[in-house]
Amino acid sequence: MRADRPVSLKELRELLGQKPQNLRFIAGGTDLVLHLRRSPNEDLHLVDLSSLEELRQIALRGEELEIGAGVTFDELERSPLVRTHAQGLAKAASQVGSPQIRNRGTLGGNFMNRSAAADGVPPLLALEAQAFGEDATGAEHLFSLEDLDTSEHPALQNPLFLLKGFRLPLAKGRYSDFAKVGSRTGVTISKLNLALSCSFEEGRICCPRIFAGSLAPYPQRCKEAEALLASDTPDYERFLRSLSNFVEQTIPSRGSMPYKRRAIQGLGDDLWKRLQEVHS
Amino acid sequence: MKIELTVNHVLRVVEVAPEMRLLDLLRDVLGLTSVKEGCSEGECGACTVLMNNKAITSCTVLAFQAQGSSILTLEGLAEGGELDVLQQAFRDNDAVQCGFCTPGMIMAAKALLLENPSPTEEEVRRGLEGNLCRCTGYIPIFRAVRDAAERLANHAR
Repeated sequence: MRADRPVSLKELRELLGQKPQNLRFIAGGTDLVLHLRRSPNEDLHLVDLSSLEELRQIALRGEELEIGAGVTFDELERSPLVRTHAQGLAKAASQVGSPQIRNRGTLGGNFMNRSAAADGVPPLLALEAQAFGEDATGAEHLFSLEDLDTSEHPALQNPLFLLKGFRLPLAKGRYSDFAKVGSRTGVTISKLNLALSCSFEEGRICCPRIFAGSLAPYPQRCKEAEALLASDTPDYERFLRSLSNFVEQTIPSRGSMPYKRRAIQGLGDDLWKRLQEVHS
Repeated sequence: MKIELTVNHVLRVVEVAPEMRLLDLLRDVLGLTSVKEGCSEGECGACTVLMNNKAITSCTVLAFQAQGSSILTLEGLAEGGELDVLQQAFRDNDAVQCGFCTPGMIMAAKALLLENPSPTEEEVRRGLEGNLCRCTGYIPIFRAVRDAAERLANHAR
């Protein structure tokens, strides 16, 4: 095994230009270090991204909020820009692991690790995020996270692809939220989570986007529940029922289905009540 | 590979293997045995140390990633033979029983107080949510942290 720790993108590009074999990027390490312990014979070339300041920026760029892949959950939770424009993402970040994990774990790592229980991904989907990065030739790639449910982007199959961050379109007055349930209150992995974004127009809920995580390998969009929220007279009972139906349709034969069809109602109730407070 | 880092206020240059964890460097190479190995997966907090004043689990960080950083362990708290206010408060509030979780608890509390010198009960609970104790119970531990905060505030007056 070998390891490198570039301190700038320029240095990293030079390293990638040599087409290293068995390369694996490491950022916070909260998942990968555990994997290395379980697979001691894996001969990897580790490249640490945690000192690249270029990946740790949160900034408004034109009509978008740009969040670097190396931004930690702690930084996301505290960022005034994230709290203003992507409250649901800040809330999800605040519920990841413990302070120790939030201080190291990154949004980029959360996405790239592709865990079905990743708390950062459903809010990114609800907020219409695009991921961007570059490959070893320097070619830039930009793709919608939503498209990944049906087809993997070729860049993600390239081990030399460097995820640089996420772009979230800014929408005036957009509201977002997140709720999760695990086996305990703190330091818990989601058994189920739910992310929402929407805006308000002339007293109506507009353009809702709802994604359920920890239900399938990738977060799933709950379109029927969205349509109910956007209707002239959103109905609480029908909204919760549609979420339950969604679970039944998505994982009909899974042993956890009876639990999750109830659990999603609790998450839906949380989101509904907070939405009513903002909306009224 | 050779890395340079500050451990408990002293600059160290050490040879580390790529797969070596920060926990192994601190315990096995530098002999800082306050850093305990519990769950080995970032859940129990027994291996908590401060990295650039932030609490981290040293079992989920590779040693080479600590290049250039400043690490503080429990051994670095007591200066000139005097216990740190947190250590004293843990002692005075009976917040220690078997002691295995105590170094991690104190380091997590240290990070909390560095950032928030007068935390509420809720903030203390959240600051220590990544540290498990199997015997004392959490109440004396939370009490000790708030007591330490109070002592620090009184000292500052």
